[in-house]
Amino acid sequence: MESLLLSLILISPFVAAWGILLFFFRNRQIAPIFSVVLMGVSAVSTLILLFTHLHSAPIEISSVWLDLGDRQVIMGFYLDPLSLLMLAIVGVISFLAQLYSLGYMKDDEDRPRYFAWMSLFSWSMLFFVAASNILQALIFWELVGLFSYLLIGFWYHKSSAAAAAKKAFYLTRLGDIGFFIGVLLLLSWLGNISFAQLNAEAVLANHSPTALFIVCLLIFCGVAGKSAQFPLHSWLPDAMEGPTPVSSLIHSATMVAAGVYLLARAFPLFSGSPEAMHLFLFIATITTLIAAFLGLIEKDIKRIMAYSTVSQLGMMVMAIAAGSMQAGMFHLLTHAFFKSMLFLVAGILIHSLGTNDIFELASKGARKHKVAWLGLIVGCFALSGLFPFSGFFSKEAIYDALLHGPHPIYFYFALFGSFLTAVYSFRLIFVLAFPKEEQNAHRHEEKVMNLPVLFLAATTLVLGFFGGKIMHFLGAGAHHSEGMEKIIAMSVTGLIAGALISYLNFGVKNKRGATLGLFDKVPVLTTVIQNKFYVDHVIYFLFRQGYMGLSKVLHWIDLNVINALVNLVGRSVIELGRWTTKIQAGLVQVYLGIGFIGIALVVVFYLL
Amino acid sequence: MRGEGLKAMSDQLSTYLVLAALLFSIGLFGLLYRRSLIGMLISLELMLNSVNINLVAFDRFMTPDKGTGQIFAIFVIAIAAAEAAVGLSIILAFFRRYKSIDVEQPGELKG
Repeated sequence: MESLLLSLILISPFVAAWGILLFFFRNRQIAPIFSVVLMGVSAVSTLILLFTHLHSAPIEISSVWLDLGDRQVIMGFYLDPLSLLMLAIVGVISFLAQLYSLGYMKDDEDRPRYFAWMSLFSWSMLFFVAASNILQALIFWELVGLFSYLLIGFWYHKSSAAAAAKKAFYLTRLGDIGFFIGVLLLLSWLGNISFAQLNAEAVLANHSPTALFIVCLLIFCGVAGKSAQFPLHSWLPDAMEGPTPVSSLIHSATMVAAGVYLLARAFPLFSGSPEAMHLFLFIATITTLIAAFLGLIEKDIKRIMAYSTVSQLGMMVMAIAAGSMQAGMFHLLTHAFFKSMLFLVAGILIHSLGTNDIFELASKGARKHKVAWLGLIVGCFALSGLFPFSGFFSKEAIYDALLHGPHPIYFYFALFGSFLTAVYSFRLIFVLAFPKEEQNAHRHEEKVMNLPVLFLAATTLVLGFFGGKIMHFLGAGAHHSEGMEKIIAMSVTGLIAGALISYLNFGVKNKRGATLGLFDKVPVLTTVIQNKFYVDHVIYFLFRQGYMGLSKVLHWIDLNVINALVNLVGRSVIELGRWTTKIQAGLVQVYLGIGFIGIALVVVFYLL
Repeated sequence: MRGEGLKAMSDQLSTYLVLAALLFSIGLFGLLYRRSLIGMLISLELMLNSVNINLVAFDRFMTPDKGTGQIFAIFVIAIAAAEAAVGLSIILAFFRRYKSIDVEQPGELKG
């Protein structure tokens, strides 16, 4: 039963992609439908698989893929609550994003290629989630990176999109180098053990804490790249150059979630090194705060959401690093739904009004799109953590985890991050709700794009109430609720303060159309934020000076040592050849003479 | 005395071997030095005949009863005749093509 469902889940997107690439690549009508239907099959199968295995023990299906004598490469699937839940998230969001794309990409000439990449992207992500061991996870992790590159750079004729795709690829690659080394170290210690063994046994007890710390840190490099943690976060906002459904898919449920999922997947490994976890917590805190600040003054609707994604990813990593994998995964779940909805809403607005700028969107009448407006408000409320939207519940879980984590100071940082989140979420709402002047721009809507938004809005409203059950499903212990009232009170205070600040800056009559709000008065801070805290500058500087310097040295070595050796071999062969061609005089008698000399030498050799 | 010395020489194997070696060397020299194909062919015949002398001489001095060497020599002569025929026809074809029998004329294999 589960193998059939699993095959349906994993093979459908693959068939969709290759069906398009091989048969429907020129057929712009059939390719999208074909892809959406098969993705739907996959999504439904993930849900069936989840709901039929709510109470069953983890299942592992694996077989030996390569037998290398003393080592075996095993490929397989591991289905436990964590991967089942993640499969469902990825499957459902992928399906909704593709359904939405039917409308969004209606006029694009390259639809078949788009849907093929979307399917392959979902396919590799599903495989990554279901992977039973870390080597397999690494392989599909890289595939996820590849297809995200192709999707972000889908409009490759736009130079900014091509640059963004390259940036995303390079920065995640930078992290993946660490991840790769970490995986190799882990493999050399433990062999290719499955996640099940890694989770069950105390295999790590024999290794020194320093070594474990290094491995955890190296693997976290990969997580930081994919899940856009400081200082590798800056690819994510740039990746908004891709089509909006791609942003919705990549930046909610799949690619950026891969890093968080890996943290949760190998949670026992990471918990083996509390120092590493503390470091992750620190990095994630920086990420959350920086991204929230960056979101405050952004004017591009998609980039605001991108920064909020980075910020929320930071929250997830914070929760996991503080020791509550369940809280992090729960936030990943709720965030996946409301954030993909927000991106889809942004897509509707951009598609029909033709601009990304929130002030232009406002003046063109963004608030008159009923479905989009509803989705935006629900999404922003969930994002800032308002009761009864799903974000409220998952954020409470995170606060709870942080308060019981290594140090309560992180709780206050998270609270501050949420306050900033509330500021920029409500800024978005108020800017769109109270435009300076409003014109009646021409609008055209695609009905099919409304469906996923409505569905996601409904889940955003409902999902939170299953929070306890979901965390219990993931293996959370009995809930300790002491101090919960305090947490809720503090977070609600922060929320109201944030909303109020936004209202005073963007909502009241004489401030309408203000771009920066509060930051108008502090130009220094504005400059710093506009330069994105100089993270890009530092990275570019390190890249130029360090990496380029190193590559110059290596280039010199390549040119003067390796290349010289190669040339030496080549030149000596050429010289030898030039010398021996003299023998080839083209005269029969010379050949005869050489032949006789040769025979004479052989005779002499045998006689002596 | 003088006649006896010659007789003694003619009773020895080494005399014939030296003669054959001289003949072979002359033939080899001619083969490598002569520019005309006819001259080369003649030199080749000389070399073959030096081998014949060797065969006959060994037959005479080592195994007088069997006559194997004689038979070998006859075979070599027969094959030399065939070889001369083939060689001459090659030379003819060569001449038709290059209007000369100078072996330096074709330089197509020159590297």
